[in-house]
Amino acid sequence: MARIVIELTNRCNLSCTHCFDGRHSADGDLKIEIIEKILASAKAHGFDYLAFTGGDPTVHPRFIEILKMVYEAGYNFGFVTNGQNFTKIYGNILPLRDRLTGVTFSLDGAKEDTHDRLRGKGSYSRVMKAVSVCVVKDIPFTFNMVITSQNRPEVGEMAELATKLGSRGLRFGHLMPTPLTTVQNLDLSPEERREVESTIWRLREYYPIPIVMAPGYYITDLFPCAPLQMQEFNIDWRGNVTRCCHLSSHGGDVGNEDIIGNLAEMPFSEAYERLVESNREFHRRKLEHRAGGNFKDSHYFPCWYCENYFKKVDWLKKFPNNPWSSRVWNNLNLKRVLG
Amino acid sequence: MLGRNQKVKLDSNVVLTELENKEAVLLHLGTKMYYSLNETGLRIWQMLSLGLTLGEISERLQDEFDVTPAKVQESVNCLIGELITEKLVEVVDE
Repeated sequence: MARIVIELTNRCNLSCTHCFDGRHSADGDLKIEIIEKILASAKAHGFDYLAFTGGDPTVHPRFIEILKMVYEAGYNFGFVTNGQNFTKIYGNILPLRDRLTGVTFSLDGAKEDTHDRLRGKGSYSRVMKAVSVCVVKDIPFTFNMVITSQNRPEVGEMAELATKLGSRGLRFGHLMPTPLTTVQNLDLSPEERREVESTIWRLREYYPIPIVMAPGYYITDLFPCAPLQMQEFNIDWRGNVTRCCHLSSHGGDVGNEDIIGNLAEMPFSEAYERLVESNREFHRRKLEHRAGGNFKDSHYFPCWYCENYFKKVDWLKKFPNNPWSSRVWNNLNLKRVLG
Repeated sequence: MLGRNQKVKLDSNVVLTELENKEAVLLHLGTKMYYSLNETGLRIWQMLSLGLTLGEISERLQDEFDVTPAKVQESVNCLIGELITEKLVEVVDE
């Protein structure tokens, strides 16, 4: 199912320690005109599913109105939320339920203390209230956990918790390093990532619910991500078509070469064609890079590769204690290999 | 049989979620079990959370709902019994 991932807003009602720095503290909401443009054109390009993210998408002042537009335009949809608003808004979502494929709740610890340490006191309890509503009202839901050094020991408990609570699935994802996660030692080293990935793959054998990892885990396939296969189209809150929702604004807006164009300035079809062309170029360069002989093991973490490729992690050089710091690409090497 | 002066304490592992239709869901974080409460059950839970005795709860329910004292007493005792069985509340020593 080809999907469009839409960052509805960069505002959020939480302030998590592992969030992309400086990204979710502003006041930007995606304009309705952009939504209308997407709804008018996306199906013709093979996209029939819209996934809303943020910030927290429920914070968008016209969130419910947007969902109704999506529903009436005949798209299936889902959204990722921290769950803090869910008990207030679910009543408005119930009439749209037959096109709602699921709500993904961010839950960053099986234990309340662990989750609340990362996301704020009381946030775990509000997620539990949200899933209680889902169970009673038959709204399908899943959990998403970002793996940090603090919650890493709880991946097994997360699988147990998600299964018992009636979740339809569980997704784990690696943390994108930021200055704040670096200072707090939240980032796992490449070796630690591989270890926790092994644990997660084993969990899949023991639990009846789907357990997956978000793109970013170690894989020798050079192009494993949906956006690189044109199966995912990402739009940020400014209307920018971006390579990936993970990259948007990451690194304090230092490198913005991941932005394809802005939907306020071009038709959807033009943005689509630009992304196709951009992907073609990326494929070519990455293949050349590997053929060039200095492809390192850390390059098989695809998000890490793109963070370097799009110059999102140069700041890490100032943090030599971060396990990824020594692996940041040298710009001179990048020019020689890719230029 | 619980007396009218008896108090019970809510288990701190239980999360209450009120729904729009005056009903509610209880989730026990220890057992991961969900329980639904109807309107009367929710009122009893709310009064338990205020630390009222079972007698005080019965009196208030008689004022709020048009039912006989015997029926109220039966409803309160029945629900409290179930809540105790499911370890959602525990009896407080008098």
